[in-house]
Amino acid sequence: MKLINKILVLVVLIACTSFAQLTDSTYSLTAEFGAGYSRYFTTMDYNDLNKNGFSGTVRVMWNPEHLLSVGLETGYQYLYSIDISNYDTEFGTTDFSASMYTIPIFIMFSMKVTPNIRFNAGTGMYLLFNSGNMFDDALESNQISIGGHFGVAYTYPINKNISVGGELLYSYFSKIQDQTVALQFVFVYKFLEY
Amino acid sequence: MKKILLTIASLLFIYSCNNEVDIVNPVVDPSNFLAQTKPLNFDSKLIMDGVYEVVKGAELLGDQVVIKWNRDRLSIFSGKNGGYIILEGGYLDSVIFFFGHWRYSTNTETGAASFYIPADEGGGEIISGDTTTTIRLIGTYGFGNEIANQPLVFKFKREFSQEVKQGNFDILAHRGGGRNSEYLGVSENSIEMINIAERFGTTGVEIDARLSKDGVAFLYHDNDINLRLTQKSLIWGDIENFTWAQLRTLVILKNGEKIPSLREALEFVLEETNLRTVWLDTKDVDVLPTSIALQQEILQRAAQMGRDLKIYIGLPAQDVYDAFVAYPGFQDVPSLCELSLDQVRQANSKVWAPRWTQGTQTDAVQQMHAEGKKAFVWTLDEPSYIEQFVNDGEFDGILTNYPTILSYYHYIK
Repeated sequence: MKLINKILVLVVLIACTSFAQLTDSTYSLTAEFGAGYSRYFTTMDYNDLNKNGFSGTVRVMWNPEHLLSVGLETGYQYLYSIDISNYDTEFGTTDFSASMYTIPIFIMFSMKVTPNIRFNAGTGMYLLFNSGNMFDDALESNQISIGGHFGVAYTYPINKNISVGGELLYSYFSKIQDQTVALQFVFVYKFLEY
Repeated sequence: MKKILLTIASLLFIYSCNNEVDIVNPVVDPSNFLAQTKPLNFDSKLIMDGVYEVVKGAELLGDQVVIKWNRDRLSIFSGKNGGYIILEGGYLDSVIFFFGHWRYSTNTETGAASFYIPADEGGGEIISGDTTTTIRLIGTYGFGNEIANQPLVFKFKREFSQEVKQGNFDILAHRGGGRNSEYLGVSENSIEMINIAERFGTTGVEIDARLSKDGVAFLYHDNDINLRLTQKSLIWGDIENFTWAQLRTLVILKNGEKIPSLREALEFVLEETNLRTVWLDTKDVDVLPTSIALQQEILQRAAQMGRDLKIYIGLPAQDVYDAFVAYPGFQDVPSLCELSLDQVRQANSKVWAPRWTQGTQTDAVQQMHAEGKKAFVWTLDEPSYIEQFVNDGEFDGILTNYPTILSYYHYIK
């Protein structure tokens, strides 16, 4: 993981120096929608843990004349679920289920390294939602974690205002020290230009 | 732009930090020699207690050490880096053998240690229960998992002072014996931690009580499930959101233990240890009635067993204090109040427990003594302050995360 981080930093730094201050003549606001598959990575050792799920992001980005865009992001990210019947415990046997998903509230930065490729990085807080059932008692809890994610996106313009593409997104949740990697389809809509 | 990149780079750096520390568990008594020895009896153990000169091995532990049996282990406390040795022992013929490990409590350095007391250097007298002042422990120590081959020799110097022997000073270990950050290999606020607390010289433990969603009191310090205290689990969030069965089944403490209920902890203290003081800190105001009921039950059982055990309900904050003084018959509930002297009197607390940063407060401590109350101070971890409070203060007990350091300064007094 450290190596990936270092490579990401290096790429961002190279991109900054190589493409610095290539200008666009206009400012714009874009809405970016991403949806796809997410894989959760953890050291928790449960055979029945389902780590595959949905990942979705919604971003509003401000694209100035520079290569760096800034914006806000929210979304949804599935982390895990587990469902065990006849789970043996010191209190007896029970059916047990638990799941967790998260909603990010992030500030996002996006760096265009080629006309079609962007590096995205964001940080902020994740709202973690935990639910389930054990011994017929609901498990309901939520908490806040700081975190961040880094991604690379490829988008292809369909017309002047719409682009589509894909994004590979790595996310880290500091509270639980786990991570996800998501592969998303991306739809970008430029809704304001000035 | 630079600021943004710096921020991103900083976040990447923080996320890539690994705060795990590898703790070595030295190989102790690899041939299981101790299995061939016989255990020393209680009177023999008492003979060994005292202050010893370090004849060889001063580079490890300084010029003198304190040697004291605590329940089933021989503990050796030094003034250098909070160094200590914990040994198991037994005798064969007229020679006493010990195997164990040393550690610096202020870092993670550790290693194996082993000793013997020859028959003509005190071994014979100790085994037969005869008082002797010519005790010499001859041994070796090593680093990490290396073979213990560095010489270490202790020679009896003096008994503990009358002040120490006749006093009732409490060496109070924080969170059952020490925090997770002390790398003791067991988790704070666990039965396993309470079980080893006496090896560090502890005479009392401070433990933290909370209440589960379904009303079971248990030991846990923080208000949420987090990786400082627990391993990764399927449930996260505020700990009060979960039932006892859920917590007990799904949450594993940092070093692999289960969360103990308050009942289990207090029964363990009563039945399995020689601890004489429990500071039952109240982390959740709702736990008070359960804590008090358990306190009364365990104290009653202690009295029936003829066991000198004190359990104090901790009153650390105003909300807990208010709930306590609203409790029927609170005047008869032994409590420990961290607030003002007036509140100590109002609550009829047995103990006043100020924060150490307020100094030794000798006048106030004497005032409490004059009113038949004790005074403990918390949480004192810096060795120089521990030494100062032991020598200059008049407290009846000190709460610390480093009971081995406190033990050293107390017993050399």
